[in-house]
Amino acid sequence: MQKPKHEPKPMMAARFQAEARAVLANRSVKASRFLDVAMSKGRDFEPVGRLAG
Amino acid sequence: MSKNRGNEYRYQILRSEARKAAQALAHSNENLKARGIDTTQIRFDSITPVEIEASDLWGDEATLYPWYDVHHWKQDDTRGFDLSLWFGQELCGLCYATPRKSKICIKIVILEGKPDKSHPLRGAVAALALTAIENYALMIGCTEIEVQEPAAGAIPVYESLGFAFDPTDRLVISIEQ
Repeated sequence: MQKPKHEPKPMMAARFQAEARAVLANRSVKASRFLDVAMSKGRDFEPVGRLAG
Repeated sequence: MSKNRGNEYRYQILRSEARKAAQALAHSNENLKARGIDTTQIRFDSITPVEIEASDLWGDEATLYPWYDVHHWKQDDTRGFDLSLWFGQELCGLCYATPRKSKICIKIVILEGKPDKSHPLRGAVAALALTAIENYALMIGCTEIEVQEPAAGAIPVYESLGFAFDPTDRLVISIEQ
């Protein structure tokens, strides 16, 4: 039986970071859609304090 | 590292990358700058005892949210997403979202802005949190975000941001690449 390969933690971290960045690299201008709406409103756009939960 | 530990580590990295990307987007956002906000002061972080302690300083107007419990939730919820929003040394918002057992939907469980009318990120807390959540949701393959229990006064905010009630009365939005 083959022993499973051990992947050092830094290499694993680099692999997961690359995975995450690859997903986000394809994001369009829609990435800022929430901010763009919120900024088109005033500071009173959202209530103070609790927003969900 | 065991497969389970490796999985936990993977989600830890994905959370971190989702926050970093949202922070970078906030720093470069011209609309935030146009409002006079020094975007370099905006920081996206996790929820640790430091954030819990800072939320204690929000005072009596703060909702009695179980922010202390988030630490325990995180241990039992590998894919959960915790977020704190800072402006310099000022804590302006806290959020916890999770897909639980769903592969499709990430749910905002709790979201709270600093209960202060004059904090620098007033009006942008939900939008900033959603930017990070959407990043994370894309990474883990979810296709929609749900606000589980929206505050009554915040429903128009979510609707303005693009959320809508589905036929089963869930307040949801599709995730967009």
